[in-house]
Amino acid sequence: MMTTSDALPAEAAASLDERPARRWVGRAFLRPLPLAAAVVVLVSVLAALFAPQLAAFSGNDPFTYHADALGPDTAPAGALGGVSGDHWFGVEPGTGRDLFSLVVYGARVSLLVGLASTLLATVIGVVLGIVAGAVGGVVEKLVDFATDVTLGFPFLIFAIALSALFPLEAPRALLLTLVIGMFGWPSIARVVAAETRVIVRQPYVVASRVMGARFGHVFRHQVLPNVASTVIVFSCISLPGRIAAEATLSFLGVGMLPPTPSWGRSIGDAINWLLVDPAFLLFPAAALFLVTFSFTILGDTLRDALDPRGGRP
Amino acid sequence: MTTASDLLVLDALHVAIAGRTIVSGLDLTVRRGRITALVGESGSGKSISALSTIGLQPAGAEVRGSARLDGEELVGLAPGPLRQVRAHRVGTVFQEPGQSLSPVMKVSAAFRDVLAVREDLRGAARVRERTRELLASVGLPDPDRTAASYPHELSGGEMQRVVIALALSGDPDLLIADEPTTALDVTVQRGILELLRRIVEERAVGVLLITHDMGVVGEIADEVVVLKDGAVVETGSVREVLGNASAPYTRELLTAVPRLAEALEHASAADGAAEEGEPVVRVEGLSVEYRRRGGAHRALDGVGMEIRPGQIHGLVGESGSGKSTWGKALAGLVPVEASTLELGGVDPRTLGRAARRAAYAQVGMVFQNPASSLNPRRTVGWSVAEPLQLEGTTSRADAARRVAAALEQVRLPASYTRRLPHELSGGQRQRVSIARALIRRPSLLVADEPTSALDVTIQAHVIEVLREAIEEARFACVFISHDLAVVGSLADHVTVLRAGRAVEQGTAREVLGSPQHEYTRALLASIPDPERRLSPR
Repeated sequence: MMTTSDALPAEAAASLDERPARRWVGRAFLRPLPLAAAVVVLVSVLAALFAPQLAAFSGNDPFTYHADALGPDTAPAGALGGVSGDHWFGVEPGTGRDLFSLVVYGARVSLLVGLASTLLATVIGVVLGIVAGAVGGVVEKLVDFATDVTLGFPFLIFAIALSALFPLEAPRALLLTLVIGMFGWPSIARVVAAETRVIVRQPYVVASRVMGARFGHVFRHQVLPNVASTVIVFSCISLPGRIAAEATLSFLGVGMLPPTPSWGRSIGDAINWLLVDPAFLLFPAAALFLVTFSFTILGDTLRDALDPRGGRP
Repeated sequence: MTTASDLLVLDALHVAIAGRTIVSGLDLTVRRGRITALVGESGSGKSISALSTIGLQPAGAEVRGSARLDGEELVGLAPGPLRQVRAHRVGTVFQEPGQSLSPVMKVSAAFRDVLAVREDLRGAARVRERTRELLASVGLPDPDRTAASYPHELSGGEMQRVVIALALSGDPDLLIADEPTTALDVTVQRGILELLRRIVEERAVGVLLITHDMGVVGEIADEVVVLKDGAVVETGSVREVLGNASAPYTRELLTAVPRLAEALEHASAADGAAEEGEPVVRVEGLSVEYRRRGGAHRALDGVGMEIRPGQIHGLVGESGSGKSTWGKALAGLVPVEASTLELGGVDPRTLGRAARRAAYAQVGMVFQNPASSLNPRRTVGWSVAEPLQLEGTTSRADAARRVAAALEQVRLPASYTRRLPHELSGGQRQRVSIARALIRRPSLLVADEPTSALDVTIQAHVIEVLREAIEEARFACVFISHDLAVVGSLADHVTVLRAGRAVEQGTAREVLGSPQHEYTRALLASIPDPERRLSPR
C-alpha cells in the first residue's frame, strides 16, 4: 500500500503554493488612449447628470433666446459663431440660444437613450439567445425566425412611421429607447445563441444535467457566467451605434422634439447654416464624435482585457 | 565526434520566451537512417525544441546554441535561406492529422501546392503522377481515390498517411514527427509506426520523433533523449535507456506505462473478488440509434452488462465503437431501447419525470478532457459542491465540510476550493472532476476516458485515486478507455466493443489473458510495449 507522501506526485508538490495572482482587468485601461477615452466618457456622463448646474454656471440655459447676440441677418454676431465670455460655444443662429447649454443638455438625451436602449436590447438578446442555444429544436427555430424578421425590417422607415403615429405629448425618449432597443437585440441574440450552443455541449454542463440540473440552474450557473464577458463587450461596442441611431433619428426630425436639446437635431439645424456659421456644426458634432469614439475605444479595450488569451502584450 | 552520417546535430540549444527559459542546453543527434526520439511529458519543451530548430519558434522566443543540418548552421540563419531549408530538406508531421490538412481543400489540391514549392513541379499530369507515387509509398491502397477526397472523407489513419506523404515530398533529409500517432487508435498507430520505420530504412532519412509514449519509443526509436522541464535527463541508445535507465525520472516514466502483464496479474488477483450484493446496473439488449437527416446510425446494438457494488467494468474499443454512447445511455443522456435497463433494481424509464431525474442523479460522470470538465468561471469549491446544491438538502456549512472531505478523497488540499480551474494542472482538474462525481456517494460512476488526456505519470496517480475511492466507497464503476492495458490494470470485467457490438465480454483475466475473438487479439498485439525489442527473440 502506498503511503500518502509517495502517492502525491511531483504534480502535487506545487499544490501548497499560493494561488497564482489573477490579472486585474482594469490594468488594460491604464494606457493613454483608453485613459483619455475614459475621461471623455466620464466628463460626458457628469455633464449629463449636472446639466442644469453646468449651464447655470456659465450663466445660461438652453431655452432663453438671446436676440442681442445675433447680427442683423440672424447669424451670431462675432467670430466662431459668437464665442464669448457669456456664450462659451457661441449661440444658435436664428434663435440666439446658448450653444454650450444645448450641447450639455444634449448629452442627457444621447446617453439616456443610448444606455437604456442598449440595456433593453441586451436583456432581450441574452434571454432569447440562451434559450435558443440551450433548448434547441422548435424554440431555436422560432428565435432564429424572429431574428431574421427583425434584421430584415427597414429600421429607419419603421422608426419614422412609428414616430408619426406616436402622440406628441407622450415621452419621446421612451419611444426612441423602445424603437432602438427592439431593433437592437437580434445581433446580440445571435452571438449569445452561438456561444450557448457550444457551452451546453461542454462536459461540465453535461455533468450538471446528469446530476439533475434543470434549465434554470444551467442558465444561471453554467451558461450566463460563461457568456457574460462576450455580452459585456458586445454591448459596449454596440453602445456608440445606438447613440448615433438616436442622433440620426433626431437629425431626420423624427427623434427628440423641440425645444428639448439634442445633438442630432442641432446637427440637422446646423446643416442649413453651414455656409454662414460653420461653428454651429462644430460643437454638437464634435461632442457626438468624441463620445461615440470614446465608447468604441473603451469597448475594444474591455474586449482585449477580458480575452483570456491576453490580447495585445 | 561528428561523423558523416550525423544529419542533425543540436548543441546546447537554448530557448527562452519573455525571459523564461523553456529549453536549457539540449544536445541531440539525428543520424541518417535512424530514429531519434525526444521524450518528455507535456510542458517539457520537446515540441518547441523541434520547431526552434527549423526557425518556427513562436514570435518573441529567443533561440541560442547551435543546430546544424548536414553541417549548416540553422540558428540565426536569415528567413529566406531558412525557408529554403524547410522547403527542400525538412518534412514535418504533426499530432492531429485532421488539423494538419485544410478542410476545404481536396488532398490533390494540397499536393499541387506543396509540390510546386518543394519539388518545383508544375503541370497537371506530372503533379498527378507524383501525387500517386507519394500516396502509394505511404501504403494507401487507392491513391487516386484518396487524392480526390476531402480530409473529412478519410479516416484518421489515412489522413496521417497523407500528411506523411506530403512531408516526404521533395525527398527531405530530415523528418520531424511531433506525436504522430497520439491521436490515433492503437491498431492504426501500429500501422503508422511500421510505415515510419519502413520510410527510414528505405529512404535513409533521419527522423526526429517527438513523443510522450515510452511504448512508441520502444517500438521504433534507435536513440532516446529524455527531456524534463527543458533539460536533458538522459541520453542513449534505446537499449541502454529502456533496459537500464540511470535517471530516476526515466525509470518513473517507464514504470508509469501501463503494462498488460501487470494488468493480468492484477486481474487474476481480482478474479476471486466475491460476486456479492444486488447488481447496481443491469442492462440487456441495449441499443442506441442516432437519427440524422437521411438515415439512422446504430451506435450500440444489443449489448448488455451487470455490475455489482465495488466492481469495475471496463469498456474497450476504438473510436466510433460506441463505448462513450454506452456511458451516456447509463446516465440517461441519450434515448435508448433495451429489454432490461435497471439502475439499483429500478427501470428509470418507468418513472415519472422527477423520479427519473433523481434515479439518474445516482450516476456520477468523469470526462476525458480536463480542460472542459469544469466550469471555467466557477471555483473548484463551487463545482465540487454543485451536486449538493442541485440536491438542495444540504446546508452551506455541511456542504463545505463535504467538499473538503471529497477533495481529501482525491488527495487535494481543502485550500483548493477557492481556485479557478485554469489555475490547476490537467491531473488536478481530473481529480476535481472525480471529487465532484463522488460527493453525493453515487451508486454508479461512469468514467469516460478519464486519463487519456494526461501524461503517463499523472495517469498512474489518477487511476490510483480512482481505485482507492472505489475500494473505500464500494460503488460500481464503468471505466471507458481505448487503452487495454489501463483497463486491465483496473477492471474486474471487460467488454470489447467494435462498431456497436460486444465482440467479447468476461472477466478481465479471461478477456485479456486468453482472448477468444480475433479483434481482441489484434488490439492486444497493437499495444506498444517499451520492452518488445529488448527481450531476446
